[in-house]
Amino acid sequence: MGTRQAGLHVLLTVALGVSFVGFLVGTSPGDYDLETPLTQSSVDLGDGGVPMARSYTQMLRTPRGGGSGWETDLAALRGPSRLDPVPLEGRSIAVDLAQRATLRAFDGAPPRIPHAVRQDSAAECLSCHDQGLRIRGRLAAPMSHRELTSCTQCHVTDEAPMPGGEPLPADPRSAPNTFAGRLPATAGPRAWEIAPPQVPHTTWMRERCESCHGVNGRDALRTPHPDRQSCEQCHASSAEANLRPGSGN
Amino acid sequence: MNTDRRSFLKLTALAAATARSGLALAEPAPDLRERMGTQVRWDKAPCRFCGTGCHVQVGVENGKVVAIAGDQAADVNKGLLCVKGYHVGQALYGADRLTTPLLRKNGKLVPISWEEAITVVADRVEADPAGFAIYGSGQWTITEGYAAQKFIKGGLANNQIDPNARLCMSSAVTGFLATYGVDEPAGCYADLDEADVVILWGNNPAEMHPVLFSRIIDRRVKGEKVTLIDIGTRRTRSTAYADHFLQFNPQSDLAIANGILHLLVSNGSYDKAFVEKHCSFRGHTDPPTLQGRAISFEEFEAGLAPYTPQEVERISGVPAKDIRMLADLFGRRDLKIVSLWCMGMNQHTRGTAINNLVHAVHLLSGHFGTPGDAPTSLTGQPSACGTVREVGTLAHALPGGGVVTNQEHRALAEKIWNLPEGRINPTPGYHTVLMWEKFSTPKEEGGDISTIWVQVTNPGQTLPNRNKLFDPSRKIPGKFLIVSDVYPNATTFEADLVLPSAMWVEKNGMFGNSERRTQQWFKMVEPPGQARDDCWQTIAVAYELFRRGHASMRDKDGRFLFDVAPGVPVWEWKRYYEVNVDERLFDEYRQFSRMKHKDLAPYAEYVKTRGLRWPVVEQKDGTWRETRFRFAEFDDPYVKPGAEIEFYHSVSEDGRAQIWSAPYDPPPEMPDAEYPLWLCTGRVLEHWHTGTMTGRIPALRRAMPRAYIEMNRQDCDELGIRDGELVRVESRRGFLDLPVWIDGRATPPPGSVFVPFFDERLLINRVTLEAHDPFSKQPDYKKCAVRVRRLA
Repeated sequence: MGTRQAGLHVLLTVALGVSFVGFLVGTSPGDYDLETPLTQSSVDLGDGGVPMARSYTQMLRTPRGGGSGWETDLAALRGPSRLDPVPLEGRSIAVDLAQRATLRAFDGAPPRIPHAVRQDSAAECLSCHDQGLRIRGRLAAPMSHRELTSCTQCHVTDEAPMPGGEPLPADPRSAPNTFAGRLPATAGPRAWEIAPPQVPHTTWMRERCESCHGVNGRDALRTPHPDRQSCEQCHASSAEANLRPGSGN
Repeated sequence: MNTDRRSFLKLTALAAATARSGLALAEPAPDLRERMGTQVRWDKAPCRFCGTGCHVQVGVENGKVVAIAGDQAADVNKGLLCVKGYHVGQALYGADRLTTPLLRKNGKLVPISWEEAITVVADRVEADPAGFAIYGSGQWTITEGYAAQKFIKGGLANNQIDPNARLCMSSAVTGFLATYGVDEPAGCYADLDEADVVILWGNNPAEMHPVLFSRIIDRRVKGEKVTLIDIGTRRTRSTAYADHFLQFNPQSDLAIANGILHLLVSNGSYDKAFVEKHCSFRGHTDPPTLQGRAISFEEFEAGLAPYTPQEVERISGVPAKDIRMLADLFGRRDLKIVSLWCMGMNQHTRGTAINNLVHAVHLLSGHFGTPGDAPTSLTGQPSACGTVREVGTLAHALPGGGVVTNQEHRALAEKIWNLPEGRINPTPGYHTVLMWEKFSTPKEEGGDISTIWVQVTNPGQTLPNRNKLFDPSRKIPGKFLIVSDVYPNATTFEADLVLPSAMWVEKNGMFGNSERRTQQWFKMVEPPGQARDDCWQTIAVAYELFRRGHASMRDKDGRFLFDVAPGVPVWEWKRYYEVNVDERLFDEYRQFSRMKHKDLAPYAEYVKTRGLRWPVVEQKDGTWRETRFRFAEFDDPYVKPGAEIEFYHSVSEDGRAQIWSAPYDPPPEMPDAEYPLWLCTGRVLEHWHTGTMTGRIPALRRAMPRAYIEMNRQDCDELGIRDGELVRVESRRGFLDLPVWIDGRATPPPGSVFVPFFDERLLINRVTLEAHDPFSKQPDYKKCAVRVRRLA
C-alpha cells in the first residue's frame, strides 16, 4: 500500500516536472530561439518534415489563426468599465472618424476585416466582436447590429486568404476605382445648445450604439455617459437617415 | 470635390498609413463639424448581381453613386445585403470603363464614332442576314432582351438568338416544363421562413445566394429550429451550418433521388391522397422527348426497384442510413420541406432528369403547394427568369412562354408585333454551344453563323471548351465578333467591334428574379463618355436597316418595328430619354404574358413597389394583386375553386403534374488511370460570374485576388504537392497552371478538385467539357476528368 502511494508521488512529480519543462520549451524536439516569433517559413520544414508544435510561451507571444499579429495583454483583457471616467480632453472626432473610414468604402458600408479569418466558417468572430476588445492600442469593435449568423456574407478580409500563387500576369482589372464614397456625418443636429444631439446616421444595422459610442468605442466617439443605456430615450433617430417612407427619399 | 471632403480623405489616407505603421495619428485634425452627405438623394433598384433580386437603395450625390443601403422595404432581403451588394455602386467606377466604340483595324482596336459603329453592324446584317446572331444573357434587362428578341424573331426571322443562361439554368426550365407544363417555381422565398427542413442539392448558398442563406439560418438565432441538409460533392461554407452533410459521387444525385422515391413507395409512406388527386406518372420514350409518355404506377414502381438503399450507397457513396433518413423526412406529413438547387443540378449532362426527379420526390410525398413545402430552383443572374425565361430570348422561344414551332404562338406574336402573316420562322435557331461551334467553323464546312453580336455577357470566359468553341472563330476570315460591354474583358479583347454600354443605374431597367418577381428602376446617373444603353444600340441598328429599306424592320403597315413613341425618334441618342422607352416596350411585351398565366401588371405598378410576383392579376377595385404560391387555390386566382391544387398547364392536360421516372446513368467522362481526378468549377462569394464588375471593386479584389485550385490534403500528400504551390491541371481538352489551396474556402474530398471561374487570367474553361444535357443543351461544368502535376 505504502509503496504504491510512494510510486504515485514519484509519478506525479515527474509528470509535473515534464509539464513545467514542456510549458517553457515546448513538446517538440530541436532547439530554437524562444524570442523569435514563428513565421510561416520557420514552421515549414520542407519536404518530408513535420511542423513542430509550439510551446505555450510561444503561443502567448504569437497567437495563430484569426486575429494573428494581435498581441495579448492580460491586464487589458478586463476592458474598460461602464463606470470608468471618460476623458474628454485631447479627443478628435475627425481623426477617429478618419480611422473608422479606412475600413469602409463609404459611410454605411460593412467594414472590411483587417486580419486573417478562417475561410470555412464564421464561428470565431463573436469571441472578440460581440462585446469588443481593446488590446495594446488596437480595437476589435463590438458588432453594430443584432446577432447575424453568416459574418463573411458582408465582411471580407483585406488580405489575400490563399497562400502562394505568384507569379501571375498583372490583373487587368486592377486599374484604380474612381468611386468616391459618402463621408460620415460628424455630429448630429441639436435643437439648442445643450440639447441631446439627434443621431446623424442610419440606425439600421447600427442599432447597438455601444459599437462605436460605448466603452470599447474610439475615444472621440465614446459617450461621456456610458452608464446610461437607453440611448434613443434622448437621442432621436433620423427618419431621413433611415430612409423611412415620407422622409423626402 | 469640396474642401471638407478633400481634407477628410487626406486624413483617411493618413489614418490608413499610420494604422499600418503602428504609430499614433498625431496630425491635428481640421474641424469637420458640419454634417456631410445631406445632398444625397436615394432611390430603389434591384442589385446588379445575382438572381436573388435584393433591392438596394442607391445614394446619389453630384451625379455620382456615393452610397448603397439594403432596402428595408424590400420583401426579398428585408434590408440586408451581401458584400457584393453593399459594394455594387463601385462597379460603375472602374477607371478603365469602355467609353467609346472601338473597331479593329490592322489588328488593333481603334476609336470610331457611334455613327460608324452602327453602320458597321448594319453592313454585317445586310451582308448575311441569315448568319447574323445575337448572344445575350440573363443580365439583359427585360426590355433589352425584348428588343433583341423582336429584332431577331420579328425582324430578321432567323431565330439566331440565345443567351448565356443556356449555360446556367436551362435544365431547370426543361425540368419545370416536363413536370408542370410551364416554367418557373411554384413557391417563393417565403417558403424559406416556414420550412422545417431545407435540403441543398449540390448547392452552396452561403456563398452564391448569401441573403437567402441568412434568411434560413438566422431563424436559428430567433430560436426556431430548421434542419439543414447539405447533399454535396465538397464541404463548403454552407456545410459549416448544416446538420447533415451527405457527400456523394458526382452524377449520383440521380441515384439518391431514386433511392428516396424507392423507399417512399416500398414503405408506403408517399402521400397517396395527393398523388391520386394531382399527379400522373411519366416515363421516357425511345427516342426520348421532353414530354415523354404516360406510364402506370406499376411501371413507375418497377423503374425504382433497383434503387435499394444499399445499391444507392454503392453508386453514390452516401450511407444507406442517410438515404433512409431523407426518405423518412419526406415520408412525414407534419414537416415542411424545401429543396434548393442551382448550378449543381443544372450544369449536368442529365440536368433535366435530376430536376424532374427532385420535383418527383416532392410531388410523390405531397411536400408541395403549402408555404414551406416546395421544390425551388435558384438562378444565378439578375434576370435569367425575367428576361431569358419570360421574354424567351432562346433560339426556340417566343415571349410569354411561346415557342416558334407552334403556329398559334407565332400568330399571336405576329398580331402583337403587327407583322405580315408568316414572318416568324418556325425553325428554331442554334442553341448556345451549336451557335458558337458554327461561328468557329468555316462557312464552307457548314459554319453558317458569320456574325455574333454579344450583349451583356462574357463568352470568351464562360463558354465551355473555349479552345474549340471560341478561339477558332478569331482566325477564320469572314467571322465578325461584335461585343457590347462596360469593361474590357476576355471577349472584348478578341472582338472586331466593341460598343461601350451603360450599366445598371446609368439606364432605366427591369429585372425578374428567381421567385417570379418583376422589378423596375429608373436611371439615376449618366453613363461615362459615349457609353449608351444596349436597348438603344439594338434600336439604332434596327433603324439603320429600316432607313436603308430593309423589309425585315418594317411591320405589315410599313412602319418601323421600334417606333415605340410616334413623333419621337428614339433611335437618335440625344432624344432617347425624351420618353420612357422601357415603359413603352414593357407595356407592349406584357400583352404576351396572359398566354401562360404569367400575367404582368402595367409598368406604372412596378414603379410603386419593390417588385411583384406574377401572375399579377387586376382586382375589381382596379388594384393589382401578386401571387406568392402558384397552383395553390388559397393564393393562385387561376386555380379552379375547390381543386386545392391545380396544374393548369399540365402536360397531360388534366390539371395534374408529372412524376417522372428517370434512371441513373454514368457521366460521359469519369476519372480513369490517365486523368484520375474530378474537376468541379463554380463561383466564390466575392466575385460574380467572370469578375468583370466585382474584379474592379477594390474590397472584393483584395479579398479574393486570384483563382486557385482547391485540393484535398490526402491527394496533395500523394503527389508531393504543398499548399500554395503552382501546379498544372490538365484534361483531354486543355490545361491551366494554378496555385493549390488546401483546407481553404472549401474542401473537396480525395479524388476531386475545384477551380473558380472568375479570374480572366486563369481560364478554367480551357479545361472543362462541352458535353451537355440532351433536352436543355446545358453543358456540364461541374464534372470532368483531370490530372494534376507539379511544375517544379
